[in-house]
Amino acid sequence: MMLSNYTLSVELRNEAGALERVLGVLRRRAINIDKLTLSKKTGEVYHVVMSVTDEVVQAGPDRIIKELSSLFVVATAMQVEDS
Amino acid sequence: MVRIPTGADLLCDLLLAHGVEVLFGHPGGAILPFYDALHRKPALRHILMRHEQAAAHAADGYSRATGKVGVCIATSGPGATNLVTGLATSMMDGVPVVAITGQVPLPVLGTDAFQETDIVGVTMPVTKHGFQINQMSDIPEMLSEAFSLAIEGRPGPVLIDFPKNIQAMTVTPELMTHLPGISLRNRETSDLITDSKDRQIDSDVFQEVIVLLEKSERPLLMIGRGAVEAGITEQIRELSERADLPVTATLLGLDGFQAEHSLCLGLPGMHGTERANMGIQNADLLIGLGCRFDDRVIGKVDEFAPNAKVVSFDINPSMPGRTIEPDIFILGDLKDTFPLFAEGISQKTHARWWNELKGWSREAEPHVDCTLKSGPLGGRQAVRYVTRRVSDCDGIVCTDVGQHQMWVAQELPNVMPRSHLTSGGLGTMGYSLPAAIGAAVGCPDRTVWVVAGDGGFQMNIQELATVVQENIGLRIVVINNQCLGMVRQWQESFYDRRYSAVSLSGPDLVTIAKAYGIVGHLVDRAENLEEVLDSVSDEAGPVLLELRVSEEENVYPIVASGTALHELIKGPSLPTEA
Repeated sequence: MMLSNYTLSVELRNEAGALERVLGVLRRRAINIDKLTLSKKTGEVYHVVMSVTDEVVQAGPDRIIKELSSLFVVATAMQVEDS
Repeated sequence: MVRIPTGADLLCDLLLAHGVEVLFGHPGGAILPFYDALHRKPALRHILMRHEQAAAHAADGYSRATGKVGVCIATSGPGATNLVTGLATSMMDGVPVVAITGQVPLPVLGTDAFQETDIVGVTMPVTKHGFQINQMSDIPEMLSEAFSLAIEGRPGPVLIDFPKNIQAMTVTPELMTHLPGISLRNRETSDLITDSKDRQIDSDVFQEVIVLLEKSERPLLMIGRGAVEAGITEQIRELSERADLPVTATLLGLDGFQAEHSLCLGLPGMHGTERANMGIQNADLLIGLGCRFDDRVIGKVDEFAPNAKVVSFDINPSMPGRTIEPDIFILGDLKDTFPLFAEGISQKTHARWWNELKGWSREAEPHVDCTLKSGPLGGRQAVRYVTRRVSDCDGIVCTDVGQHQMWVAQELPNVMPRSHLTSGGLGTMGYSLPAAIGAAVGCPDRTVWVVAGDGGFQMNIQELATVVQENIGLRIVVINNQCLGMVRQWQESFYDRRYSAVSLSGPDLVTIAKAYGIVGHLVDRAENLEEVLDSVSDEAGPVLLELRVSEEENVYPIVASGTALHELIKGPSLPTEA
C-alpha cells in the first residue's frame, strides 16, 4: 500500500496531559504517528508537529483538524506542507 | 478562635458562588476533608447516592431537567472509576456536569498509593477536560474554567481531581485577600484559546437557507437536544406553524416539540415512524436544528435523505462529516443563529407535501390494538397508558435503555421541554433511576416517573435506598418481560432465533421494593392497569409498579442496521425486504 505522508501542526496549552489529549484523538481512530516533534513556543504555548501516514487521510484530514481544534488544550491545529 | 479555612472550604465556597445548590456523591478516604467542609456548609445540599455511577447519572438528570450544571462527587480510585459510565453518558449527549474526585496526596501521587487511580487519564476520552489541582491557588481558576467549559460550546462533563493534602491545607492569607476578585473569573483569561476559536456569523449563509426554504416544496425540520438546550422550542413551534413545516424530533429532542401537534411526524430513525422516515427520504430540504445526525437516526448513510439539501445548525464545529456532510452548516448557538433564520421566513402552506406525508403512518404500530381489554398486558400497551399519566401531570419521565425506551419515545404524548430524559448516545442501561433522582431533586414540584426494563433497572437498583432516604416521590414503572428484550429481539430477527444470554429470572420486584420501604404493585393483566395507575397517582411517597409483559413482543417499526430509512420494517406479519 502506498503511504502518503501527512503533517499536522498543533499549538497546545502548556500543561500536563495536553499532548495526551491530542494523541487520544488520533489513537481513537487507530492513526499511528511516524514522527513527533515538540517544542516550547512561548511560556503558555507549545508546538507539536506530527507526521502521520495515510490512515489520517482516509479518516479525512479536515475531520482530524476539527476534532483537534475542539479540544480545550488546543489553540490551533492545521495541516502543513511536507518538507 | 477563628478557624482558618482549608482548600476544601474554599472549594465549597466557590461551588456556592457558582450557583451550585446540590451535590450528588459518595464519600471515601481521599475526599474526607471535603466532606468535613461540607458539614459546615448547610447551603450545599448533598444527596448520598449508593454508587458513584448513580451520582454521575443523578448529576446528569439534574442538569437535563433544570438546565443548570450538575455536580457529582466521588473519592479517589474505585469511587472515581465508577463515575466513568456516567461521564461517558453525559459526554455523548452533551450534558454539562462537573465531577469532583478526591485524589491521594500529591507527595504520593504516582506511587500506586492506596486507592490511587490516574482518573484524569482514565476519563480523557469521556470528558471535555480534566483538571488536577496542584496547588491551593489553582482552585478558584480551575473551578471557574470547569464550570465555563461544561456549558460552553457543546456542553459536556468536566472533571476536577483534588488531592487530599490540598483539600486539608489552610488557605494562605494572600489568596484569601484575592478571593473576591478571582472567585468568578471567567475563561476570558485564556485569550489564546478563545481568540483563535472566535467565529463570525456570516449573514449571507442565512439568506441562502431562507431562499432554500422559500423555494422548497417538501421541507422538513429535524430537531435534537441542542434545540432544547438552547431554549428555542417555542420559537421552533412558532416558525413551523407560520411556514407549515413538518417536524420530526430525535430521541433527545422529543420534548422539544409537542408530539400531538399536527405538524409532528414522530420519531425519526431506527425505530422511527413511517411518516418521519419516509418524510426524510422524500424531502427536498432537511433542516437539522441541534441534532448530530447520528447513525441511529440516519440509517444507511449513502441513502439518507437522497433528494434533500441538508442544512445543519449546530454548535459543534466537528459535527459535519462524522456521518453526513451537510450542504450548509451553520455553526453557533441556536439561541443566536435560529432567530436570524426564522425571522426571514414568510407564511406558507405545503398542502401537497402534507397530502403525501399523511399517506404514511404517524402511529408506530397502527395495527396493534392497545385498548385495555381483559387479557395479558402488552409492552407497548402498558407504556401507552403510563406515558399518558406522565403527560396528564406535566411530569418528567426518565427511561432506561431497550425496548421500553423506544416504546416510550414512540408513545409519549405532549410534554414540556426538559421532561424526557434518556441516555441516547451511549445507551446506558441503569440510567433511569438515578437520573430521575437528580431530576426530582432539581424539580421538586414536578412528578418524576421512571420507566425501566427489568434488565436495566437492576443495574442501579440500589438507588431505591436513596429514594427512600431522601423521600423522593418517584413513580417507578418496571416493564418486566423477564428478559433482555431488545437483545432478544435482535437475536430473533438477525441471529435466526439463537437466544444467547437473554433470559432473566427474578427477582420479585414488589418484594424488593417493600424491603427498601417502597409501596409496590404487580400488574400482569391489562384490565387491572388503569385502576393501579389511579392508585399510584394518589400516593405521596415513592411507589413501584411492576408490569409483567410477554417476552415475545418486539419494537416496530425497525430500520435494520445497514439499510436505508425507507426500508423500514413495519411489523412482524408484514413482508420484509432482505
